[in-house]
Amino acid sequence: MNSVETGVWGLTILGLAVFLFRMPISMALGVVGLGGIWCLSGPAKAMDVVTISILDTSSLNRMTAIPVFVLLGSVCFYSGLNKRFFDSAQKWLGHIRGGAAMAAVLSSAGYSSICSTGPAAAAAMGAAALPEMKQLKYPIFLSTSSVAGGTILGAILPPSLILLVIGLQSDQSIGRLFMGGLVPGLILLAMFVLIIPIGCQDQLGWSQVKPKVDRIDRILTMANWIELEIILIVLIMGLWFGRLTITETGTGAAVLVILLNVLFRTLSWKQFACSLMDTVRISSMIILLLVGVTIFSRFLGMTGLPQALVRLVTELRVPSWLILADIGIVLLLGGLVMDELACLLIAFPIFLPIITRLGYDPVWFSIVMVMVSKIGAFMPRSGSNMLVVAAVSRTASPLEVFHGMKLFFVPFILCLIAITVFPQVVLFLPSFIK
Amino acid sequence: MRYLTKLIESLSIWLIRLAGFLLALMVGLICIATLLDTFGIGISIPGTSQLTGWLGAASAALALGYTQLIKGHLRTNVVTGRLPRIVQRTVDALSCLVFMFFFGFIAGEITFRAYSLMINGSPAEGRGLVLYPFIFLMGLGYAGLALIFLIELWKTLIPERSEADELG
Repeated sequence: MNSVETGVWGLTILGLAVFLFRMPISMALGVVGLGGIWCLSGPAKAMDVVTISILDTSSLNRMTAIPVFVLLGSVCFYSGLNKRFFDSAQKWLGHIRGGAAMAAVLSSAGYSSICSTGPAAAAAMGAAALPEMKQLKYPIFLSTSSVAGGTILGAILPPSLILLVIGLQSDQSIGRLFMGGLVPGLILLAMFVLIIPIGCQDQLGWSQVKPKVDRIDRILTMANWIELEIILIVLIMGLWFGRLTITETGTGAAVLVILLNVLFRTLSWKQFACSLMDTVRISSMIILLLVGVTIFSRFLGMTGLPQALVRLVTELRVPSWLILADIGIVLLLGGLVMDELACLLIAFPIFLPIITRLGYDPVWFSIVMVMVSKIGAFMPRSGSNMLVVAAVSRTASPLEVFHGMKLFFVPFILCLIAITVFPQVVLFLPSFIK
Repeated sequence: MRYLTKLIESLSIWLIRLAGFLLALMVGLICIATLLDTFGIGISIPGTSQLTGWLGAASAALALGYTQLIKGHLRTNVVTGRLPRIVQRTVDALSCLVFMFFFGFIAGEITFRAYSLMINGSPAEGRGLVLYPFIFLMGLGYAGLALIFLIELWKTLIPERSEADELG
């Protein structure tokens, strides 16, 4: 068996370990990677490579960006930003027919971009928005799906944790990735908000609207989500002008948000301690995943499989869009059966060399692939956000949420096609980053 | 075994508390260093980036055990969820055993490296940075994870009474 075949066997065993043995993905990557290196270079070298990978990957200074951004989201979660965010959006849109659902989409998208995990954002926004929409007699499929749909956008809108982790793993500029996600994210947000009054005119017949709020009050209500404003200002100042690193930018935003919430007494010491615990828990999960991917990538690198794939693709002489479509299908299927972060982290070391060789921009590829892997979030079995929102509502079944999600699926696919055909939509803003 | 389980579980809770403290320390250090270097009088504290990196690494490693205790590591349940219960148990026991040895070995290797650094020193320590305590803490975190797999293995092999009744 030559080394490339060992690499193929490694991938097969990894699939079995993850799907059949139900092993945690990060640990399966580590164990299979260790086994593979053991086969190729012997036990002493294997243990050495694994230990060095663990020590080097987790102590990289860039990695500190992960806990910092998770802390930012966690503090926002405990300070009750979800409720304030929805109330504020309601004051702007509540007087329009379908306004509460539009407010739910808007606030869920903003909140989930800060909050580190999609299901946590879906639970928090569901708790804040669903009772209000129930009171206003919104159909259950629309109220639940507007929350679940909005939270999907958190993967693309900055400061998305998925983009941050992908950037760290594939050594891309986080600032360029964040800016690359901004325009598609905002286009999707506008489409998701506008599709509600357009697509649900008949179903909104019984729903009520709120009285129009005075313009001054509406402007004043923006102070309710000052956290998001601070985060955006710090991110733009730090990344756009290139003065701060991603960790420094995240730390600046996190410390400002903590101080502000302590000052306004919206964050107690106990809640702060809980946010620290949540942060280390989520960060350890992500960092172990990155360590696992590093070990497995080193194994694949030793087998020469990624290089063999690049050679194969170059020799195939098929159009590059066809290869891109194939990669998209693999990620789509991966996103259906596992968490999109894990799926993307496993796929990137294999596919990124091919994509770079074909001349595509890695930032554009990353945004497109995050969106492709997010298609699974619209499906009834794999959409964890949908399941969480259904559970929070206590009255909706996952199928009802799925029924509502069809409304957002068409704009999502249209936007995906648009950014695939016109990469400049993604690459326009990153071109300004220093 | 029940006492050992309780002991390991409370150990993992103490380790995650320590991880939280290290995280707060890391954030504070980054904040002070940024303020002094970028916005202040241009003073850069040497070794800050290295120190914050190791603080983050130790913090993440210490939280691993608790994260596993609450099943916080990503996994997929597409195929195994449909297998007969006895097959699932066998599969779970096997993976617990593999991970217990895997993380046990890693904890040992990391601790050995920390010990070597403590005895021989490292280039970073020449600049006044003492890194081996963080590496020891990482070893402790991975050892905690191995111990969690030990109790998971125990629970899989010898189920609680109510669960055993259910299994017949």
